[in-house]
Amino acid sequence: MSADKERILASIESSLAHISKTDFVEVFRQNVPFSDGSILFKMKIEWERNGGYCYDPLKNFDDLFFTLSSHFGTYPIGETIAISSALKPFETILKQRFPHKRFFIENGLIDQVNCSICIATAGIVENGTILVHWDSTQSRSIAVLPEHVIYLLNSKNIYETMDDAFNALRLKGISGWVMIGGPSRTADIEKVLVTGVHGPKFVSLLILEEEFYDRA
Amino acid sequence: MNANFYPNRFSKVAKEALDNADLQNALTKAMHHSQMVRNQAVQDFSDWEEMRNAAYRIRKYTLDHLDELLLQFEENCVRNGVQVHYAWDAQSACQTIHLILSSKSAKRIVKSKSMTTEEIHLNHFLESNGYEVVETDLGEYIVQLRNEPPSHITGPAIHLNRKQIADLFHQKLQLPYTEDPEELTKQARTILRQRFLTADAGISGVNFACADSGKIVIIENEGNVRLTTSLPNIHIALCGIEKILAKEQYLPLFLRMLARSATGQRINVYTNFLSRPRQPNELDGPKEIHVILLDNNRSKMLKDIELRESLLCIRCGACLNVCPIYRRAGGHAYGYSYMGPIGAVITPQLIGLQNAHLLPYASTLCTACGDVCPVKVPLPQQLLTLRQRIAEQASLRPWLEKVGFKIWKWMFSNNAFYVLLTYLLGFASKFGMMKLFKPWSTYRAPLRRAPLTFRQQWKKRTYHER
Ligand code: SF4
Repeated sequence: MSADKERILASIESSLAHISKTDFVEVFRQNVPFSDGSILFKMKIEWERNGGYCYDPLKNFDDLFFTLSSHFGTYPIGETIAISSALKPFETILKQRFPHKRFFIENGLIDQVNCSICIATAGIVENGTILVHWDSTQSRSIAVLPEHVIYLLNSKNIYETMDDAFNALRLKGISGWVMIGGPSRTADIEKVLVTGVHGPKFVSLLILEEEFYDRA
Repeated sequence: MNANFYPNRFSKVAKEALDNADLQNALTKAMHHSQMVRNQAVQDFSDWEEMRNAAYRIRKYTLDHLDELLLQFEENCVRNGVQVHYAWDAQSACQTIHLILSSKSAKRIVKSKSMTTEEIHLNHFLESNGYEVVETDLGEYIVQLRNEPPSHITGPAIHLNRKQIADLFHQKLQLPYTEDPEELTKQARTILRQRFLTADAGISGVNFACADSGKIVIIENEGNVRLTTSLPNIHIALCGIEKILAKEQYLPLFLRMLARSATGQRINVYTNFLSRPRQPNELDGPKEIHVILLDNNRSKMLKDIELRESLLCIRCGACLNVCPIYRRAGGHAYGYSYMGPIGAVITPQLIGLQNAHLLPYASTLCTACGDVCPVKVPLPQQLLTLRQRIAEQASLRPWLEKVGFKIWKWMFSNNAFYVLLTYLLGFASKFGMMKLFKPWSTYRAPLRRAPLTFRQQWKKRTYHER
């Protein structure tokens, strides 16, 4: 409605005509509080504070498969597991290691799947969140639709603050992402906290040490 | 004005709320919890006050440069492939949404929580035009089933207890009766998941719109925004024009403050940064994103030097949680989509003082709202300004008040009559006149007669006191 546009802009202009305008405001860097320890350890602690589960950083394939097998044993994740196509190189080896599970590369339609494995683009220590973006290798829904989601995060991509993480994503040319801090939750009924409303009830973070991630 | 809005019935609806024991219990529990977790969460920062100052300056910058920033935002959206529409008022916004939906034959709509869509009464409009609209936030879904508006900015169903919700699901949805919040949530998840998968379009609000990148940011905890903006082929985001931020780099500050002020969390579970529709090689996502920039009197509010700062609001709801009036009257008493102190200030500006002249009096002026506001909206001063304007407009004052003040003025400017009257009142009060003030003392300490009038006390001063 271009008439509305003209009307709104004219109205704003006339309202601002006699206002003395504020100058440009610098970005304010506040003192973000941190716990002690290495950045990997802090990421684990903070992610778990949000109600997710985080395994100790993984150094090699043996660590990864051991962790996945204990995870599959702990949680009732069902037979079928959707994996992001960024993890295609793992597909064959996952199928060999876990013959009772059915892994498939997601295609954006995963509503029948109970568990998914996807890539987290960055981690943020400040609030224990991860950033997940979507592109041709990973759909928007893989990180949210199933009841169990496992996120793989390169330890190199863990940042102290939101400011640093957002800048890093922008520098990589990523324009859309979701910041995830734990399982989907609500307190809409008598303020009782319930997890797994529309998104996952269980979210697990697997931090892969930089060398291993690059090798993989 | 829309018949579904009734701010001038505040006193009546608030009185009903006070007599509703279920509501009082639900409000007491919810408000106490919200205030406690917010107070704990802000202690994370030693420089919370400086953060508030910075947030105030950044939001004020938006208001002062709104015309330029809107154009910059639009330009960046268009570059990203997002379609931008301007809507002068509620009707224009509804019509624009109708046009977008009908051009794609979209009939099934999923919606995520948005106070701006409540403001334009979008659900009512869409339903009367044959669309099937489902609210997907759990609280909103509950109030939609009850055919009620939300009663809080961040907790739409806080006025209800689990039994009422269990009855509702059992009767309206024919689901097995349970009062367990976990089970009730599961029931809603199952039903709503189907709605998401079959929806033609998703409608959301916007928390922040970044002028320098064209990104829109929407925060939530349930994952319903994520699904509303990912699964259907069309995503429509309704955004008040004041939601613009000049720079994306300001976001971390606001995300830290908004989550803590709203729900006492250090961050919301999902913060969605959306910038462009589905690209040809992408696996899912909306093929079209439309942002509707809604004015609905905001551009005129900008002009009012004394009240314009109410547009700084980021809708965290913290001022509601601390307000002694809201904590008793609940959100429905305000009769409009915005409630609590911020509702009392912006509703008269949005729909006209004559249509909401009781709301500025829905405050004890304790100033708690101004103290908690993360962007320093001067709510107490604005409530006083509105009261002053109402007092200046004779037509807005009840006739009893006008006559009462005339008599009072005459009495107090006539010395002999004043003496006589205080004497008579003192005399009458000995014979039970205080009973007349019973309505006053229903919720307050009873009035007591002073043993001596002021004049008598004045005469009895000791030498030293003189
Ligand atoms: S006025 Fe301030 S405290 Fe109230 S909802 Fe708006 S931002 Fe929050």
